[in-house]
Amino acid sequence: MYHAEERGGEGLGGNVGEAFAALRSRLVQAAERVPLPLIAFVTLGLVVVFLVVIVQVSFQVEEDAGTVYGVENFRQLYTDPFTAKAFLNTAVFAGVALLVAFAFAIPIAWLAERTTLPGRGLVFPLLTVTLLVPSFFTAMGWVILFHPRIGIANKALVQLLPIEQSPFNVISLVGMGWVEGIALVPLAFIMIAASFRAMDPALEESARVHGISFFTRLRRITLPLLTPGILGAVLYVAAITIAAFDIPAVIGLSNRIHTFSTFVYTTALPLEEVPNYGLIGASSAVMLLIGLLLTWRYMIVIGESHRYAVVRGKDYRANLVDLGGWAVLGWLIVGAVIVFNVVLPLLALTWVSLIPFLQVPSAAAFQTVSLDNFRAVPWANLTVGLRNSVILLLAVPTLSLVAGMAISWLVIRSNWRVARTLDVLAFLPHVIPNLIFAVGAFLLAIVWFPAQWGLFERGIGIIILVYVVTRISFATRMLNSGLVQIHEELDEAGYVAGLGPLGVIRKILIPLLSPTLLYSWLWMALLAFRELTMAAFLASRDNLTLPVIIWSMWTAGRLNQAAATALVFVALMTPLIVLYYVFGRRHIGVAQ
Amino acid sequence: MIEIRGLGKDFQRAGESVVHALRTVDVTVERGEFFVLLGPSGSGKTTLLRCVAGLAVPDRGEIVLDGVTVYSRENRVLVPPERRGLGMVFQSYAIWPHMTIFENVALPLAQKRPRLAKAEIADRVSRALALVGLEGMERRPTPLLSGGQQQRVALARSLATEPVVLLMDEPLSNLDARLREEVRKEIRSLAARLDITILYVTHDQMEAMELADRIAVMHEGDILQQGSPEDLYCRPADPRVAQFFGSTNWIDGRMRGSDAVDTIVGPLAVPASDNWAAGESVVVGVRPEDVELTPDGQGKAAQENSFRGRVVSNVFLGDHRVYTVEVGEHVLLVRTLASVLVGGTVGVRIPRDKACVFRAHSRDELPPVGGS
Repeated sequence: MYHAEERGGEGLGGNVGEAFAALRSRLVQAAERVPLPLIAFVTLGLVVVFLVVIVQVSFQVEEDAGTVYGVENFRQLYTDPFTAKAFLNTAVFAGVALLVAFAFAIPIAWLAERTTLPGRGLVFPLLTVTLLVPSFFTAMGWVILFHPRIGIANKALVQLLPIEQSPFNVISLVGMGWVEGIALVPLAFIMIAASFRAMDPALEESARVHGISFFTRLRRITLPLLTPGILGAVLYVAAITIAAFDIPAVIGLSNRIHTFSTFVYTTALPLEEVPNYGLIGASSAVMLLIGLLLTWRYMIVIGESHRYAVVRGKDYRANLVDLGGWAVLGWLIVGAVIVFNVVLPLLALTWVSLIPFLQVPSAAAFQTVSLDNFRAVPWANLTVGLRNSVILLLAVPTLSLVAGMAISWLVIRSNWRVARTLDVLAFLPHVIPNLIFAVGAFLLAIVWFPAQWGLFERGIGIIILVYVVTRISFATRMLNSGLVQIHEELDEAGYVAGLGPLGVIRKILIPLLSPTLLYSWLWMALLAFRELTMAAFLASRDNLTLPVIIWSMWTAGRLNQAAATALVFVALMTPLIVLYYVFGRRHIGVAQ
Repeated sequence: MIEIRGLGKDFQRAGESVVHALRTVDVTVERGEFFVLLGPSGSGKTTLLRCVAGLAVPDRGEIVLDGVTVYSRENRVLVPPERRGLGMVFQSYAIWPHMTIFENVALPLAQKRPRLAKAEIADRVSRALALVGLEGMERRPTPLLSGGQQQRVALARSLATEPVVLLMDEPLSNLDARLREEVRKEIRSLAARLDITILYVTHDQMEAMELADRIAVMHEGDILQQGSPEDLYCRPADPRVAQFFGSTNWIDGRMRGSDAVDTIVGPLAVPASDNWAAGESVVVGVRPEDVELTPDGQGKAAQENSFRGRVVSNVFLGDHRVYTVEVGEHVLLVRTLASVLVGGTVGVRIPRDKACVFRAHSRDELPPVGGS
């Protein structure tokens, strides 16, 4: 950037006052220019470090003579039947989840973007809010209802219907895949709706003018044009699914159905033996590779999509399909997603939180209703958890936006060559599962630093770091698009007026970006508050967050207490979601 | 006041060859002078202005503002824009939309060191706004202002700090035609009143001629010619300069002696010059309004540079007409008030002192004859 020097040719022979003034003005200039690259390098340096440590550990083999490098871990991964099973499970789980997610998401996107569905403007905000409901909450509800032995919905069905056995079993790969898929519908929907919106309606209209019927249009024009968008969404959601932790951890972990994420978790934090870090590194490295391959395909698909030229900045909207009476069916599909994600789990958890053990609602059961579970909640623990979660809620979005601002400013506003690399690095956490970064941080704290430093025991600093690193892609995507929309001459007028880069950011860019900043802050705050995966991997005595506390109650078998606590948690989250909805409404949809 | 010496800047696009945005530019602007950089888009005029502002960093050369070196490749000096103490009006006006008019004008004042007192700032803002005819509008929010008002705010903002140099980047290009004329007059009178040094960028030669004390015509990163508007119009040093100030008739020929050219329309007397050797290939440029047209037979016979031609077509443009006249094989554009018959024979005369001679090879770089 600038190698700034003021009046450099002269001044050496000047008096002391002048020299001092020159030095001071140089320092002021440096102070204006150093912080942004510094923040950007530190943040993105962490991205790289977390990934490097995984690769390094994956090749580390413990021998009697000490640590050597080799491929032993990968060989073990390949030959170990347990590992193979976990990977196979992951494939089935992810396959079912993708099928379910897109079976709902594609029709809903079409309904919201291309039909006269009454109240279709609500679909987007409703599903976005659904996205914020923690998936461990949804999963708990499904287990309570559809556990093959104790699930209350299963029991009720056996009582009501002439069947002998429980009709549903959520404690299975297909069951887990179903819940995961349902939980991912909002995300898949948001991505596909964006493709629908980006499509030039004239392409469909011209087909119509030329006498092509509705179904032929759908088959021959609309769907082929959407293919890159859908494929891109599938690849992106697939990368998330294969590393998904919440749902396998709630449903599968205690029932010994392992996917990749729970496999890594149990290897990292085994109950008995010494953890095998090499194996964690190797399996994470394989996952990282799969993730990067998917991303690479995703980039190719997205890169090719311009060939289809579906992106047109036209103002007019597509001709909407009149649904008539079919609108009811449309809302049934949308409603099902909300019911499955929010309503059913909420009802199930509420009921279970009020009774001492799992039972089907009945007159006898109602006799046992009380607030005992809420009284039994270890409120002291919960207070610590709440404190930690609130710290995360405040610190993570704030730090992410500070770091994001530094990176985005360098990427968009400086013509620094390094900036392009910074942008690529900032994009990585978007496509590499959060879990991988959590593993990276975990290994970093254990392998790179002496154990007596106890990085884990030192509060939630390391959790904040990992959260910020994983949010950096969202923050920079939002700020990049925000900055691009601000005419650069507004900055330049600031420079000519005597402001340095930090002054321009403070006085001009931040005020102009404030709607984007507020929206992004709220979104990241909510995600930080509900995050389970990374907090679970990095949990220690002092840094437990609310989701981790709830989840550990659950895995310890205290289902009713966990349900009560989960309800308290969702109640705490609700005002934030309302706030987000009110402030963010204009921005909802831009986010993804 | 502004000294630009040997300034150059290259752009390297990935996988493409280097583009010379500025080759080797030397410009000196005197104190109080209104200096216009004129050229088509891509000629480097805006890059030059941005280098002076510090918003673009040159690759070589030197810039001195009011005796202070703000850029020197050799001495590794680069003063950032915020420390150059300039005023600048941007093409988009760049009025900060989240601030009121007052806040827009006050911000540069608030950056001054040593700090100005609040009352002093308020006073200076009022004075600057009065200067551009916006007194009493301090509290107005800016997004609802008209283009003309935004333009005035931008002007007030850049003048409030009383900079020694004011930079203006196509400040009129976003205004409609009538407003443009009005603001142009105001800028002219402001410049005269304030005795400020102005460096002004435009692609509009009329604007340049009306405003400038001196003009530099730029082309592909080079300055073709600098001088007063009259110099450039009447004594262009380069056929591209001539072309830029209006369409020109080009006649190919070969020097005979030092003051005559053998051309395809016949022998042509030109102003005597030592620049040319006999037999050298040249091209003669004559402006359409300088060509004299007489109904045949009425002019004096056998005057110097007189030819006979046939009128091919006629365009009526209100205050004048443009005729296309065939002289032998050659076609001349003639702009005149006189009225002659299309298809008739006319006398055509090219006054000796209006004929500009240029080296022939420079002809290749010219756009085709025609246009306004």
